[in-house]
Amino acid sequence: MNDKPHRYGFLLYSLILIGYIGLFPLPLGKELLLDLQWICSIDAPVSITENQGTQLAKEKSIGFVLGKTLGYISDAGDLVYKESVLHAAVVTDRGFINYSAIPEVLVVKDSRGNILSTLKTEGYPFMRKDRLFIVSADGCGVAEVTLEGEVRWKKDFNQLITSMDAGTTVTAVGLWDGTLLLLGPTGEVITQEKLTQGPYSVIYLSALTKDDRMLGVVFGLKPQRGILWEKTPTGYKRVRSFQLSSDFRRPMQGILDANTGMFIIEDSEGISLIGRGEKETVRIALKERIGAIAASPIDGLFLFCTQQDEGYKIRGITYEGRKVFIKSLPTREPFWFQGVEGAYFVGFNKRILKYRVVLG
Amino acid sequence: MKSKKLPITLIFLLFCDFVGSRSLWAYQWPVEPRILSVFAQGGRGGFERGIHILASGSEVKPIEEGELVFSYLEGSTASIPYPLGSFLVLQHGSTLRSLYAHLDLGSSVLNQEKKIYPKGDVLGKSGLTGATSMGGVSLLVYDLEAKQFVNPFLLLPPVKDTSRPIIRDVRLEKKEKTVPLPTTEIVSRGMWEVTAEVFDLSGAVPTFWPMGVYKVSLYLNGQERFMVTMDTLKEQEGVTRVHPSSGLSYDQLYFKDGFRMKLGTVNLNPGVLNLEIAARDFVGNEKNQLYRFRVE
Repeated sequence: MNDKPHRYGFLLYSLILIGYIGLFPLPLGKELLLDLQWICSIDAPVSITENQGTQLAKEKSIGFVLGKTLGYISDAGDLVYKESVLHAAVVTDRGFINYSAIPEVLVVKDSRGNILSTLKTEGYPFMRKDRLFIVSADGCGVAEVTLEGEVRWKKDFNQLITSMDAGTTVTAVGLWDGTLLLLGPTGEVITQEKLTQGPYSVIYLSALTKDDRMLGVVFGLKPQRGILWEKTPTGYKRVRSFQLSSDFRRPMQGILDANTGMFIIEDSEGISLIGRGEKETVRIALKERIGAIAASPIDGLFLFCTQQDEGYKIRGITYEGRKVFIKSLPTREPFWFQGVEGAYFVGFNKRILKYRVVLG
Repeated sequence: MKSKKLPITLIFLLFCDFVGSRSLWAYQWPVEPRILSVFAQGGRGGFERGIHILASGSEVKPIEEGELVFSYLEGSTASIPYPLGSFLVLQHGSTLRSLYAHLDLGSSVLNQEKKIYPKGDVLGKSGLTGATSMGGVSLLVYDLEAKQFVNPFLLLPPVKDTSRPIIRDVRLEKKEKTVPLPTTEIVSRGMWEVTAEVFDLSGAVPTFWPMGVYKVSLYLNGQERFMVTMDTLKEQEGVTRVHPSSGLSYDQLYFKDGFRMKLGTVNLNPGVLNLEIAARDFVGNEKNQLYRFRVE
C-alpha cells in the first residue's frame, strides 16, 4: 500500500533531474574558437619557380586584394603570385582583373598572371558568386561576361543600378526608382516589381542565395523596409515583409544564407537576422560599423567584421543570435575579410591569416 | 500729370531692383559651367546621360535644395563598383533627382548625418574619382515620373558661348557608294543615307575638344526630312531612345564611336536639289550648311 507514493516520488525526481540537465547542462570546458592555420606575408617573394607557374594556376589557391596588392596564396599558405593594384581589382580563385581608372580594355589573367582573355569596355568589373559582370560607365547598364571574354548578355536600364546580386543562374538588379528585376540566364526579365516606400524608392540591397531559392531586398526610407521571396514552381512568392530601424542612404551590407534562409543585414543599431517566419527576427546590437559578412554552413555560425576607430573585430554569432566569439585586430591598415567553405581569411598589416572555427 | 507718373516709375524701379537681385532660374550650376561633354552626345558607344563640367577641387553645390537618397564612396565593399566614382544623389520634390559624380567626398559621407542639402550647401569637392582623366563633376538629372533622364541645360541658367557648331565631312551613302558633299558629280537617283560629323567645340579647354549639339535638322528642297533634339533619354522596350523628338536609339543616330551622325535616308529624284543641314548648340548658336547638286 505504501509503495505507490515512493514509486511516483521517484518518477517525479527523475523528471525534475532530466529537466534540470536539459535546461542547465554542465559545461564541457570547450567552446568554439577561431584557430589560426597559417600566416602569409605579402611582402615576401613569390615562392615558386617560373615553370611551376602553369601547374600552379590549375591548383586551388585563394585570391586576395589587400590595399594596393593583389595575389594568390596556396592551400599551404605560400604566396604564389602577386602584383600591384592599378585602380582596383576583381580577384577570384580562377583568375583576376586588375584594371585602371579608365580601363578601355580589361585583361583577365589566371592565378599565375597568364592572360586568359581581354574585354573591350569602359565599365568596371565585379564578381557575384563566381559570376563576372561589368557595370557600364554611367552605372545604368550591366553585362555578364565569362573569364574567357564571352559576353553572355548585356542590359541597359536607363536608370542607375543601386544594388545587384547573383545566384547560380538568376541575377537580381535593384534600380534607383525602386524597380527590382530578376533576370534569367540570358539576361531575360523573369519578373519585375516596383517597390515603393514613401516618396523615396531606392533599392539599397539585393541578395540571392547561391541556389537561387531565396531573394531578399531592402528598399525605401522612412522607414526602410525589406522583403523576402522564395522560389516556387510557379515563380518567386513573397514569404515575408519586414521593417527596419535603419535609415541608410547608401548600399548596404547583407547576405542571404542558402542553408538557413536567413537574411543577415546591417541595421542602424547593429545587425539583423531575418528568417522566413514572421517571428524569426534577431537583432544584435553593436556600436561598430559593419564590414564584410560571411556565412559558415559548416560551423552553424556566421562571421562578420566590424570597424571602429581602434581597429577591426571579427565576431562569430549563431543563427539564433548567440555571440560565440570576438577577435580583436588592432589595425587601421587596409583590411580584407573573406569566408570560403568553413575557412576565414583575414588580411591586414601586409599579412594574410587563415582561420578555421574549431572546438577548443 | 507728373505726380501720377512718379508712383509708376517707382514701382517699375522696384520691380527692376527685385529682378536684378534675384536669379530668374530656380536651379543653379553645381560649379562654374566649363562644359566638357553634353547630354545625349555620342562617342563612348552609348548616349551620355548627363553633362561633364571641368572643375578641379571646386566646391560642388546642389542644383536646388534636395534630400540625400543615395550615395557611393569609391572603394565601398558593399556595393558594385561605379566608374562614376564617389557620388551623391539628391531628390528634389517628389519627381526630380540629380546625381553628382566623380566627387571627392572623404569619408564624411559614411556618417550620413546630413540628409538635407540646401541650395548653398557644399556636397563635396570636384575630384578625380572613377573613370575621369580631367577633374570635374558629372551631373545627371532624372525625372522619376516620366522615367527619363533630362537634359540639364533645359533647367540650368544659360552659359556664355558664342562659337557655332561645326558640320563637316557630309556624305551621301548607299551600299557600296559614298558621295562626299559638296560634289560636282551627278548623283544617281534613289535612296541615300545622309551622314555627317556634327559637333560643338568646348571652350573649357584650349585644345580641340568636340562635344555634342542640341538640335540637328536635315532639309531637302526646303522640306524637313530629319530632326532630332536632345531633350530627354527614355527607355522603350529595353532600348534607350532620344525623346520626344525622334525616338532614335544610339545605333540609329550615331556611328559606334566619334561624332558621325546618321541624319536619315532621303529619296533623291532627278533634278537640281538643295540639301541643307542645320545644327544648334545648347546655348542657341546655329550653323547651317547648304549643298546643291544634280541628280539623274
